[in-house]
Order: sequence, then C-alpha cells, then structure tokens
Amino acid sequence: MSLLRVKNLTIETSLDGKTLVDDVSFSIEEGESVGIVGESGSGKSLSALSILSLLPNGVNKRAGTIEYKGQEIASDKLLDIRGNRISMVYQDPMTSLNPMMKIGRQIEEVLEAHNLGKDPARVLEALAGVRIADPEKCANSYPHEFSGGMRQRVMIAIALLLQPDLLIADEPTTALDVTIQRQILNLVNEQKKQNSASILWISHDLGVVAEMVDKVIVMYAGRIVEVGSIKEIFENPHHPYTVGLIGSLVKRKHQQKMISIPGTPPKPWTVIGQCGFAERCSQVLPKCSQEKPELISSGAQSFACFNPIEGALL
Amino acid sequence: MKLEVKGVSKRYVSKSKDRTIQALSDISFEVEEGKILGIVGESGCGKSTLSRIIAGLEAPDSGEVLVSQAPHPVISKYVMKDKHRSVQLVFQDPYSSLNPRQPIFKAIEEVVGIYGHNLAADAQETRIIDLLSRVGISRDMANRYPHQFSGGQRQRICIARSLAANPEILLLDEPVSALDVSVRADIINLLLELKNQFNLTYIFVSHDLEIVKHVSDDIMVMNAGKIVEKGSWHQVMESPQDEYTKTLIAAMPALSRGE
Repeated sequence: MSLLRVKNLTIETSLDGKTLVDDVSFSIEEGESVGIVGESGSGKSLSALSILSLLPNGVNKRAGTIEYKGQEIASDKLLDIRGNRISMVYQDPMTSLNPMMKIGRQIEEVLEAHNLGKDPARVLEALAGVRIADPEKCANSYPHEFSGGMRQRVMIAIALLLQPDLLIADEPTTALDVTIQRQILNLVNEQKKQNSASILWISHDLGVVAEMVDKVIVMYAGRIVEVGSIKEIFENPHHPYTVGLIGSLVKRKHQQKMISIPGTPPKPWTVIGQCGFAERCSQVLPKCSQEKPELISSGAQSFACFNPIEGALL
Repeated sequence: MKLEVKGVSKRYVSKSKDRTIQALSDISFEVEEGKILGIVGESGCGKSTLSRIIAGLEAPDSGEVLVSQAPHPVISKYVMKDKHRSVQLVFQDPYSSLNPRQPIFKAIEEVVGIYGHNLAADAQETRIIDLLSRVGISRDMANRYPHQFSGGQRQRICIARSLAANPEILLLDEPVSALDVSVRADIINLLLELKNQFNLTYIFVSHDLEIVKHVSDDIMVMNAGKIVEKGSWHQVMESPQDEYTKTLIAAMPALSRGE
C-alpha cells in the first residue's frame, strides 16, 4: 500500500472552469523521495497544495481523490493529517512565519493545535534538531531578526515537529543563496534519514531535484509528461520536453549554443485534447494536435508521447 | 581596454548615521573588447552596487570607471546623454522594466529618439522594426503591450531596447534568473549571437554559477564588497584558489558542476 496516492486529480479555476491541472495521478511509497519538476504554470505547486486541501482562493479541485495509507483524506480527518502526518515547507519563509510572534511561541502553537500542550523542552529540541546554534535565544527572537536561511530552518523545524510520514517541500531553497541552499539540502537529507520520512520535493531546478529524490515526475502544461527514477530520467529521457530540459543542463560546450526549446509554455486549458508540448516539439506528428497522449509505461519509466525519443542522451 | 574599473569604493551610511556599510572596497578590473566578464556572488556581495556604478547611475566614493579609455561620468542632467550611450543595462525582471501602458514599439522609439541623432520618421521606424526582428519579435507584434508577451519575449524586448542606444557594453544584471527554465537557454543563445553581431562587450552579473560558467570568458567572484578571485572561466571553475570560491562551487548541485 502506498503512503500517498493521488488519483486523476483535476484542478480548475472556480470562476470559469479553466483546467489548470489535468488528470494527474502518482503515488509515493513509504520512505520514498519523489520530485515534481516543472516550470511556472505547469501545475506542480497546485498538485502539491491540493494534497492538504490548501488550494488558494479562486481555484478548486474538479475531480480526483487523494489517499493516505489507502484511505481517502476526508475533510473531517484533515486536521489529524495536516501538519501531523503530512507537513509542508514553502518557498518564502518570511510569509509563512508570523512577523509579530516570537519563534518559540509559533512552534508551541503547533503543539497546542494538535493537543499536545505546552512543551518548552520539545520546542528547543526541534530548533536544535535543525542545527540552530543557540535554540533558547532563537525561540526568544522574532522572524525579522534572522536571515532567510535561518528562517527556513525554523520552518523545517516546525514541519518536522510531529515526525510526519511525508514532508512536502515546495521550492524551499529557491529564495536562498547557493551556499545556504546547500546547507538546507544537506539538512533535509539528514532529517529524512533520521526520521525515515518520505519527501515530495517540488522544484523548477532539475539539478537540485537530482540530489534530493529517487523518482522524478516531470510536469508540463498541467499534465505529467514523464515519470522515472533519477538515473533513467537523466540517462534515457523519452519525452522531447524532458530531453530538452536535460539537454540544456548536461550537453553544453563553453559559449556554444545551448540546447533550447523554442517558444513558451502554453496555458493548460488551451491544449485540452491534444499534446501540450506539440507546438514546441521537434518530434511533432499530425496526431499530436488532435489527440491527447496518455501516460504509458515502458519498464519502470512512463511517458506521454506519441513519438518518443529513443536512445541514450549521455 | 573596453572597460577599466580602478580602485572603486562605495560606502553607505544609514539614515540614523549609526551604521555604515562598505558596499565596495577598492575594486579594480579590466574587460577587453568583445569579451564576457562574469561577476558572481551572493546577495549583499556588492555586485549590484558595482553594476550601478559602471552604468553611471551612482557615483563611487573613490576610484573611477573608464570606457574606451575615457572617464564614464555619473548621469545627471548636465552631462551629455551621448556619453552614457556606450553602457546599457538589461535587468532581471522584464515585467517591471517595461512600462505596462506603453506599446513596445513606443518603448523602443523613446530610446531611438534620444540616441538616434534625428533620424527621419521612416528611417526611425525601419530601425525599430529591425531591432525587434533581431531579437525574434515580428513586426505585427510591435503595437502590443508588455502584458501580451511572455516573460522570455519581454526580456527579448528589453534587450532590443538596450541595443537601440548602439551600446558598446551591455551590463546584464541576472538577465535570465526570472525566466522559466526552458526559456533560459533560448535567451542565452540570443545574447551570445547578438554579442558577435553587434560587436559588444558583456558584463554578466549573476548568482548562478552554472550559467556564468557557460557564458563567461573571465569570471570574477565577489564577497562582502571585495573581489576574492578573478581569472579565466576555466581557472576559476576548475582550480579555484580562494576558500569562498571553493565553497560556492561545492554548493552547486553535482549535475551543474558537470558530474
């Protein structure tokens, strides 16, 4: 039984029913780390947010189920799962922390919300766990007194406080400097081992994802276009979009033309009933703009393409 | 030398006068004509202050900036506009650097009007259309507003606008950081192409070592307002000498280091 299973998730705008995420299904096994890679507007963040029913105003789930350990997450069970069994870290720690409240108090709130009472010792333990040098001083400070990296550590401490089974991380290092990003990546990897938690890592940066997860889901224009292990995806991608993305990363000579994908990503609702990538694809067939390619498996990898690229990239 | 920066220092004092920040201390370097210098560093290292000073948007406390051996003055209403033509800027965010209420044709017309030395109206129009086509924006899109374009297209328009001044040096301040991954390679390719077409010299400022490594001839690493290392791209990336450079390179995802 999978730890988390997302089935046929479709998300639309509430006002006019425009499709933003189109029939997305994936699962995460216990202890497994999964990455979702995609550009802005690909639906990666919406897919992640809908797991905990955190979709923003103006956007709603049209169809699909989300199962945690085989049980659909019902709205009355949400409070037992959210922040407890499944927790989340966001991109910008400044907007997720309350600027008017001391950090220690914000951590305590989480314990109280889950009926665990006041437990100052546990707060300090949590801060020490994310390698904050002086936990007592930190607990007694306000968010603005810290740097972005330190604030993100606090967010991770809060997310891991109740030892969740799954940590969802939505671009948690995008706003940080590279050396700080490195510290946070190492910290999350360390915590993952200690707590044997699963991770769902959302990012636009394939390089970062490659270091954090076992399996990658590539999303484009609201759909999953390819799924596979890190090794398979990097060495033998099949979908032309994945090939383009990875090509621009690994196959490049100094100051020579980089492999690029012409054009820009379409809005998901404009490509219903066809391949979302057809307009930019070098492998395009007439069929691609008439029919939607389904995600089909080939070995452990799967991809949604009528004319996949064969042969190793590296 | 196309660009010489000699002993530039800059210090900021807080409003209450109780704190000073040494943004730049004694920065000196040169860039040869036709070369690309990559400037790398994390937030607060002084790279943005430095680009503002090179562009003439701000005066250094000491030191000077020379463009083609001539001093590059700070922009004020008293100096000739022509002196500033030689260094043009392309910013990180193409959303905020275009006027949302101005069709893009107008945005470029403004610049051609200032630097075009009284071109006749039809010659001016030909020039604007030519500039747009060089960056891949077709004639029929020229009367659209910025919001009708994607991020990548907007950055192309900003590049066309900077070229409208006939610059010798383009100062690219994080030109692809705000763009989608699949569009970045496209803009980098365009920049490399234009450099040769227009015989330009580039200063490429970024926090992204991966892209700086790809485009630069020389790389300069900054930390806390100082240059900590400077050399050919190969030297800096393959055998860094300074501890901070080593930390930066070690922090890159393994894939980007080429492993």
